[in-house]
Parts: sequence; structure tokens; C-alpha cells
Amino acid sequence: MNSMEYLFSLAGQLLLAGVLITLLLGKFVQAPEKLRAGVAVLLVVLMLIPVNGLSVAQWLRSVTGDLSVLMLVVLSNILVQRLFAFKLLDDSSRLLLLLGIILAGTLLYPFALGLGAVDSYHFGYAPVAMSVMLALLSIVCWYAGKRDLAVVLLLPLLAFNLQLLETSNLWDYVLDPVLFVYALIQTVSYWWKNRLIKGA
Amino acid sequence: MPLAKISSVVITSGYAVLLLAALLPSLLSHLPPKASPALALEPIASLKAFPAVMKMGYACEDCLVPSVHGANVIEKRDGGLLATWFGGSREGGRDVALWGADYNPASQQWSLPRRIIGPAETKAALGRYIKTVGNSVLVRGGRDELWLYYVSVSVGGWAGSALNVALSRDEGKTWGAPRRLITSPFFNVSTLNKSAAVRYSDGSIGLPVYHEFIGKFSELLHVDSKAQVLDKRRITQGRHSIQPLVLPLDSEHAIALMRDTGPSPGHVLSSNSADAGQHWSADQALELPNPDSAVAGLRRPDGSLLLVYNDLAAGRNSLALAVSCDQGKSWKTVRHFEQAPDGTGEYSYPYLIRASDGNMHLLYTWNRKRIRHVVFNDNWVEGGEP
Repeated sequence: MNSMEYLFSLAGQLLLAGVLITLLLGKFVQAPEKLRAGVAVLLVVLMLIPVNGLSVAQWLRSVTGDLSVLMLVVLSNILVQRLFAFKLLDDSSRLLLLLGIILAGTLLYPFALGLGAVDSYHFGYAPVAMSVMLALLSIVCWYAGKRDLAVVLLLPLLAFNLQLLETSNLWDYVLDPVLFVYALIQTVSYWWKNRLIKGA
Repeated sequence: MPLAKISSVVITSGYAVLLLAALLPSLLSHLPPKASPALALEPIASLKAFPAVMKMGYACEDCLVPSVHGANVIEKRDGGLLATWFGGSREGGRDVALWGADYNPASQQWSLPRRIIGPAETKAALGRYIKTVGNSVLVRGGRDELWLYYVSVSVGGWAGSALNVALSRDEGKTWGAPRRLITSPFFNVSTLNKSAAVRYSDGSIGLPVYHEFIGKFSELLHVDSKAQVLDKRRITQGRHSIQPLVLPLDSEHAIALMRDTGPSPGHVLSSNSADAGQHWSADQALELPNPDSAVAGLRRPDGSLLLVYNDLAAGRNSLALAVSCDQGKSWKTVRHFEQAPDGTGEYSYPYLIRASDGNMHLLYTWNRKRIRHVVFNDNWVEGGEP
């Protein structure tokens, strides 16, 4: 693993841990502004503490694997929102992104894990068709006024070109199982809340 | 021009630059699509005229650890052999490491086993927790490059395996830090190797691997000469065919022979490719029995195929050699390496290569205590006695 791959994977674990801790700490993190930067620094320090030969971030990575670029975007969005009350993606773009992740995961995981004769993961190697599809989706989003989402959809391609992850498969830049499960939970939760509001 | 319009043009131009930066490198590096490389056959002349050779020994008689398994072997540049296997207190134990030994053909002696790599070194290099290591396969790379592809497990059993690769530039005396191959989108589980790699005309290799997480099926991993994954193709599907042995028949045709993990009685399974491993036919059961155990083999210079397998419906206490002269359609068992009539004993996980002098070297697990080494040649296969 080269240093760029290491830094990129570390960033993913820091963000994931950051989100988990800020969610656990709840109101404390939303408290006075001066505390927010302190909490952010504390998170980084905590994640780098070595435990039995690996840092906390590396132990987390042993379980989750490397996180995809879109997962980093989603995590950054949550963290920035919690710490600095600022959104990287507006709510409708975020929902569209999560729906896209569910669709992509549904196309990827069952077939990659053995359903049928064609391995969907294969299309992520030398991924001309996948690259064109992502670019087209991005253009559609741009002209539909979802400029934040249009830019976000290009980030996996840019990271793939720079080989920022260990993998040589574009699928791994687009999504990961943690993101897929998160998208499922968030979308079901969104649908459930809407149903309750409409029913009220 | 109003400021708002200028601003809009700048933003759109920025997006266009980003779009091109995202799309162009991928298109430029992968278009036009490259034709899939042809399979390469080993250029070895037939040596049937030589006197029959058949010698049995051990790659490790005292293996230094209680349990050993999963041996493989490769010929070194000096004509000697290098073998690796995994060993420790038990299969899957946290103390299991990869061990290796060198064979000197002049003295016909193996060196003492030496520890090559284990969970600790893999953990340090990968920056992840590694519980144990498993099967390994040695592959000749470019000049003076020897690649060691091996399985490691972080969580769970063998179904949670991932592949790693380490490089040696001194014929296996020392090894560089390993790195992980990403071969699956689901937490990078589960990819395992067992059999020898096949070569392509462009220097890349096809590494036969298998998956045993939800399904149990065989795959062919296409890897370049620097151990970067280029592609992965599914050989079989379902829950019953693992540990593929891929034998090239010519530049386009290949046969995969597999272990049957389905309901008993099992049979050796086969699948064929007519486009150098890009696509594979549905698997078929051969007449050869298979007691849920791995097979090994090679293609001989005359085009016939050899297969080492456990010729029993159950148990691994008999290890036989079969020959096919019709590209794997029918087989005839011609020799036995081991036969324990009382039903005890385990002779399993064979690995077969042909050295440049024409002799074939077979390694297999002997009762999980030792690694057996057998040297034989074509004349012995044809019935000649040493």
C-alpha cells in the first residue's frame, strides 16, 4: 500500500469514527463553537492511538475495509453538519444519492456474491461503460439543477484515475457495504417518517 | 456581460474541466478495448525416451510444527525447487505461518523448513488485523521476480479469506512486504487460491481462485506481471465447485477441473473455455470420483492431460494418477501414489509441476504431518519401471 492509499483509507476511518462519536456525544458536540474544533482534534488523536500493534483507525478498518469515495462524502456531510452546521449536499440531493446507492448495491452485491453466471463486479475493471454512465448521470444532474450531486458523482472517477484506494475496480470507489446498509436504513427511515407525517 | 452571467460561465467551465478530468483518463487507458491475450503453453519437449523415474521422499519430514497443509512448488532459475506450505498447531490456528524449503536436485535433498511469512508480518504490512494465513501459490514473474500469492483471514473462517501477494527478487530467500489484492466488493471476502497459475502471451497470468462465502464457485483472476488485478471471470456458479485447476489446451481452449463440494457421492467437475478463459461452459461431472478434495495436474507436451486425485467416493486415503488423451473428456487411472487399505490416512492437496529437465514433481499433504515429494517422468506414467 502506498502512502496515498494509506492516507485515503485513514481518512475514511477517521470520518467514520468521527460520525459515530459525534452521534454518540449528541448534544455535547452541538454545544459552544469553541468546543467543536477541540472535539475534531480529539477524534483524530483518539483514532491514532496504537492498541496491540494497530491504531484504533486500523482496527476499525480491519472490520469495515476501505470505505468508498461516496461514503467519505456522506460521512463528511454528516460530520460537517454536526460540527459546523453546514451542509455539503442539500437534502434532496442527499436522498437522490442514497437511492442511487441502493440501486447500485442491488445490481452489484447479489451477482458479485454468486447469483447467476455473470459477475457484476467484473464491469468495474477497465470500466469504460461504468465511467461513461457516471459521467452521463453527472451531466443530467448538472442540467437538472443538482450541481452538488453532479460534482459528487465525478469524485469516484477522479479518485479512481488517481488510484487513491488499494483496489483497481471502480465499483469500490463508488460504494461499499457499509454505505449500502446506511443508505437502506436512511431511505427506509425517511419513507417511514413521511408516512407518519402524511398519516397525522 | 453581467457579473451573474460571468459567474455562471466560470462555474460551468469549472464543471466541464472536472468532467473531462474524471472521464478522459479512463477512456484513454481502456479504449480501444484490448483483445484478450492468448494462453501460453509450456515449451517442453517430450522426454518419454528417458528411463522411468519414480522417487518418493518428503519436502519436510520433520516440519517443525504439528500440522502442515496446502503445499505448492515452483522451479527456481538454478534448476532447484522452492516449496511453500502453511503450518502451525492446527489449520486456521493463530500461530499458523507460511513455511518454505529448497530442493537441490543434485543432492536430492530438501533444506530444513524456514518460516517465510505469517499473520504478524501480514498485519504490520497491511495495517489490518490478520488472524491466520492459508493456501499459497508461487508464480514466476519477470526476470528474477517470484510472486507469492497467499490467503489470509481477518474475521471468521476460510470463507472470510482475502488474497495477498509478496515479491522476492532472490529466488525466495527473502520476501518484501506483502500487499492485499482487492477481488470482491463485499468486505473483500472471499477469494482463495490453490492451484498453479496459467500464463498468457502478454506476460499476464490467470490465477485460478474460488469463492466460498455464500456460494461455492470457481473463478479466474487475471493479474498483470506486477500482480495488479486486471479482471475476474466466473468459471462456475452455485454451491458445489471450488479449487479449480486450469489447464490450457491450446492458445484459446482451456479446461478447468474442480473439487466437488456438493452432495455425496461427488465427482471431479469440469468446465471448458474456448476464448482463453473469458467465458466458461456449465460444469459437468466427470466419471472420476471426488471425495470433496482438491486435484492437481498438467498438460503434457503430446497434449494429453495428467490428473492427480483421490480416487475414492469418501476419504482421502488413496491418491491416484489419471491420464486423458481426449482433452479431459475421458480419463484412465494409471498409477497410485498412496493406498491405505485400512481406510486410515490422508493424502491430499496435491500440487504438480513439470521441471525444465522433463521430470514432474508432485507435492501433497501426508497425514497433515508431512509434505510428501514425488519425482516421476513420462516413462513411469506410461508403465515403465525405474
